[in-house]
Amino acid sequence: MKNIQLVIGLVLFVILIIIALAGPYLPFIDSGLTKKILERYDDGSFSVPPFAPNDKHIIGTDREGRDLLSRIIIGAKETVFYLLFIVILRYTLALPLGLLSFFFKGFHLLLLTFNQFFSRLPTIIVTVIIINIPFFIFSSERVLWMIILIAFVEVGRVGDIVYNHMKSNSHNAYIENGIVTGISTFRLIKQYYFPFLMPQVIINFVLDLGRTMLLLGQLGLFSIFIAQEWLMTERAIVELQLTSHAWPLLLKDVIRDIRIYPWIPFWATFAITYVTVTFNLLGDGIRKYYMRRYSI
Amino acid sequence: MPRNVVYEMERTQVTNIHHSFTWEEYKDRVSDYVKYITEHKSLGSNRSGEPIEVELQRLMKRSLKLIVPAFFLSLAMGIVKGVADFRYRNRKWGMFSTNITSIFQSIPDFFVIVGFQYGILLLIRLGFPKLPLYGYSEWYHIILPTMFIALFTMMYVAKLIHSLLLDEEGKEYIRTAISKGVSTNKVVIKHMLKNSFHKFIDYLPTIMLVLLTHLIIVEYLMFYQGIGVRFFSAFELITVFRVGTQFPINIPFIIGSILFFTVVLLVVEWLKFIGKALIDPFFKGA
Repeated sequence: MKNIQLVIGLVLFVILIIIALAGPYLPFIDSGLTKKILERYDDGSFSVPPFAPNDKHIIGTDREGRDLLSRIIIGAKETVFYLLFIVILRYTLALPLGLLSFFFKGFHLLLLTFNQFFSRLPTIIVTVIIINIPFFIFSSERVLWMIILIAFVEVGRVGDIVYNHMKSNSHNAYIENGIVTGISTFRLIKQYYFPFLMPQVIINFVLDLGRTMLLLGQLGLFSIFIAQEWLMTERAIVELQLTSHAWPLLLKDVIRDIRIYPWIPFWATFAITYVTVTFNLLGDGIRKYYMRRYSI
Repeated sequence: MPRNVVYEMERTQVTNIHHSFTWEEYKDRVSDYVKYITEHKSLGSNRSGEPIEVELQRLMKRSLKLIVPAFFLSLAMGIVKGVADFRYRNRKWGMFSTNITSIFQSIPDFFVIVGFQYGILLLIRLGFPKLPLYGYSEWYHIILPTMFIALFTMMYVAKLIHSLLLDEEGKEYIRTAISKGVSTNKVVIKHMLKNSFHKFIDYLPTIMLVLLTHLIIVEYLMFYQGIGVRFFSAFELITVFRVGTQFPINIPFIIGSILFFTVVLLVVEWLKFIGKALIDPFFKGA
């Protein structure tokens, strides 16, 4: 039995989880993320951050002189947490919506409108437009709103997947069998639809984790982040401050960095790529696993 | 498109920053704006007093120079790659090529571009000559962005064609054709591809959607001043508010560029219908 995708995906996933949980306690990690203003060399010269990759900082430092490797590893936990939060929220909304729209026409109309509204333009554009509604920008629960909005934009797409799966399955003989025996709708869903729907949902859930990481990265490119807070810095000034170590924040000055300090965006996007590849491989692997199991 | 006009001016207060919003004000604003459009026959003007349409037109031309060639290039290359992947799926390099497709699909476009630029910077440090690849004024500036957009979109097209061909596999007419001694190449291209083509045409708008997403990222990271980049700068997300700062958002431009994206997608939708009318024997008028 060969399922390379699943094996590699699982290995990468386990590494990711270990890094996210145990990363800050690893010996070569600067868990305090000390900022450095100046670095002196033996010959008397000095330089200011960000420092290019050298012996002390294997992949360099960020603009404030913090070790980039430590920064990325410490940021892993937060990034994965946001991802999970967004996707779980999306599925808790989309799954009932998909099921309801299969049984009630009204809900299907709702689902269709939802899709018409949000899926006609590229996801990134729709997300940016909605996030920029002033109400959300100035809300004191900004972080929570951002998560809800990002989850919300793709509810329609996921609901549609569930709906279509139910619909294409409903013509199968074994389902009709169940209906003819006269069991309740609840049992019909639980015992006839779910065993085939669940693998589909799990596969899409895992793939969605990858997709959402991609979207967060894209939003980061355009300086839109989940973790931002309004702080009253001076008497007449209110400033939007970044309050987290999540990876997309490293892409803040990507346009300038890319020419002068390319290692910052490179390693930040590398970390993001690691996550998208992991979840895509895992999703493909799980699909292969289920296909083999059911095709006997 | 009411959701595009949602942006209201802000009132900031230092003790508690928030915005004021009343439905009446909102209604007034929308009706004022509609009146403005009908009176001036224009969506608005930008800061230098130039009508948005002039600016939009300039940017549109720039972006279309990328969109149109990239679209057809990715279709052509994607179909060829998809067919080849399918044809040689049981050989070693065919499998390799298919794997490349799926791995490439899960790598974000921005990582490829950032990595590419890092590589070039390292090469320049090693004495590699500098090439004038970035910019938007000369004709050769479109080469690199177009190549990138076409490459990313091609992977999507190739995977699509591959899976459509897999659906056709094993159908009666294919077995008949093979049993009559038609060569495999001919079966794949003349029968399978032709028969799955009307399904493929259904995906044209989705392909354009994928392309537009890549367009925005590529334009932004390759310093190509097109409509995608300008769209994001129209939001001008500022991070410091002083008392009295109003919310700087360029509504006319955002509406204009969304109109542009919508029109591009609409044109592709038309292409789809025309294509269907020409190819699909079951298609009956609009």
